[in-house]
Amino acid sequence: MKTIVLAGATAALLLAATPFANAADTPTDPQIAHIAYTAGTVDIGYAEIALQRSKNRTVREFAAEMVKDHKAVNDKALALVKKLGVTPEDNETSQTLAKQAADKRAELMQLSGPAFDRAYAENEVAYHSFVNNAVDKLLIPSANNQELKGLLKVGLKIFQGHQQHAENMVQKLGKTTRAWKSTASKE
Amino acid sequence: MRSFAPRAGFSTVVAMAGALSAPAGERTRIVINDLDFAPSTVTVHVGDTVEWINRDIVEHTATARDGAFDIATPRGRPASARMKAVGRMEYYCRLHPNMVGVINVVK
Repeated sequence: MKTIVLAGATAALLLAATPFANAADTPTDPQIAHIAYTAGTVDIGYAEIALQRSKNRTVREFAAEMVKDHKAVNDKALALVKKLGVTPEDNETSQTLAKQAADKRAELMQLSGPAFDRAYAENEVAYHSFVNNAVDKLLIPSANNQELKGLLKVGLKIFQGHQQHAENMVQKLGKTTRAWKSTASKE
Repeated sequence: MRSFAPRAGFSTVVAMAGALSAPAGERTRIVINDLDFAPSTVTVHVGDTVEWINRDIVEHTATARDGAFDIATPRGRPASARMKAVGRMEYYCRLHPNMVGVINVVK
């Protein structure tokens, strides 16, 4: 049985609801391709909201990077499945990912200003942490095709970079918020 | 290119994006592949040029931790920086901070 160590409560809830959390079976390559593509699309969705709602340069630059990077990885994945003649297969994990993302997007849409920036940044850390664990502990070990496994490994390094970048962003926003509060309290 | 524009602090290097006229000194190439700078450590002389070529599917930067240089390394196009002073420079990718490298500049 494969188990996944997850970083956040949201992530734990998400995979607990999937057939791969407690079952002995593992995802097939077509399912893995679908899950990986969906995970990238979810983060592009978060980034598009950030580009609509945030005025913070750090947040906007990060979001623009997420759109470009995840699109590049997803394009590569599409090219690979086409080459391999594989049709990505929808599955409960992809569906749960999409459902959780819709809920989070609705939550983010209620926020604005520094509160939005902080929520977006913190979600990016949690989401990448979750996805990285899933890719590392479940998707890569389960992949049979070596080219798919290789793409997942490269994707993992890219997403680990995003997680670190997001952590830096949270730290930077924290400093900005503290500086703002300090200035406000003097007025 | 807005987000990758070079930042202040070019006292020790001269950064150049794209192919420019031949610089003085030797040219050392670092290849970016699968989110690694290869070789991860290089030793060059003052006046030499370090050139990065990005073979990844995503864009990167080569950013000195001390602020000496911060250059974009777009996919497939070389970007370079001329080393102007002796020292050990640690650098990383701002977009993917898990990518790190070192340039030792000697006389």
